[in-house]
Amino acid sequence: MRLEPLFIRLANGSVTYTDVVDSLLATTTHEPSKEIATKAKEISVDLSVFKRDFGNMLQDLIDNGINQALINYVNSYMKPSLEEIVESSNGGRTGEKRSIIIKAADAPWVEAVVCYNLCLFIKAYGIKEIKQCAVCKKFFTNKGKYAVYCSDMCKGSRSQR
Amino acid sequence: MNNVLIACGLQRAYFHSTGTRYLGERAEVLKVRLVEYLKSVPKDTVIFYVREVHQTNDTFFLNSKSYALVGTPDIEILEIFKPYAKFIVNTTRYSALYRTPLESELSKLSPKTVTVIGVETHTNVLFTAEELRNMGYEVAVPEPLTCSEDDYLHTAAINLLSNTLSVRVT
Repeated sequence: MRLEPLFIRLANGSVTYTDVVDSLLATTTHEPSKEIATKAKEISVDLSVFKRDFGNMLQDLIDNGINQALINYVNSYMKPSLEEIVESSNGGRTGEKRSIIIKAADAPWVEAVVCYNLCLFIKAYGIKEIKQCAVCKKFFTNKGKYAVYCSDMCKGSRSQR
Repeated sequence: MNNVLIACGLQRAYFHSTGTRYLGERAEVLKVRLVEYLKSVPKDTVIFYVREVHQTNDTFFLNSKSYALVGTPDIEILEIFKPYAKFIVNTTRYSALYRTPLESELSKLSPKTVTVIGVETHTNVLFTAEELRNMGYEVAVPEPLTCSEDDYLHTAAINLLSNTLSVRVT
């Protein structure tokens, strides 16, 4: 089964603080960022309020599209926390590699990583691919333009009614 | 347990002579007071700046002059205030907690008291303090570190904060 992007899994409550830290550790090659992330694994931060707010933002994104409140929300997390490095072997946009480095250890970079993941998804697929299941209310992606349900089970349960 | 300071509206819209809602002499006096205060804030206090960034077609501000629009100089934090901020939060409304990361950040810090300063008293300070009180935080507002475009509105807001919301006004 295809794995949903990190921001979807977080909004659905299936990833924890440690999972987000691990996802950064798995992708970054920047040593100071690795160090900060490794240290962060030793503590645990409660992301429940962030999960709730982020879920509300996603719902707003689905209902109303990109708006200033969403941009403000994402910027507030990303600007103090992360810097994006874009490398391209041929100077063009094809084959470019993107990575992030953590700007400050005391910044909310874990939340920023999730917001960055959302931004990358929107850049690659657009907002219409982000959906919320009509039955279980879970978020899902890339199931097609007209998809309404996240799984066959949800689709089946709706058609039985 | 940390103390938290929320500084509202320390942006060009209110504090710079070219700002759309420049507060004139009030802003100049407040600038001096705020810098002095920010310099003296204890090290364990976490300082959040909250600035308004509005969408051009936001109907919420239908009855007031457009200001702090995205992409304009209005939204920039004044240079003199920049060194003291830990975290800059952008908001589209008067309340600093409306669709912003502030609630999440406050929940991590569990502050004993949240101090709210800045402009304007009857908008950003009042509505931020109100929501903080709803969430159960103890709120303090040092009156000399706030101001409004109008003295009547400032006094009315201070009365509401003190008498209705049980905010510690000093």
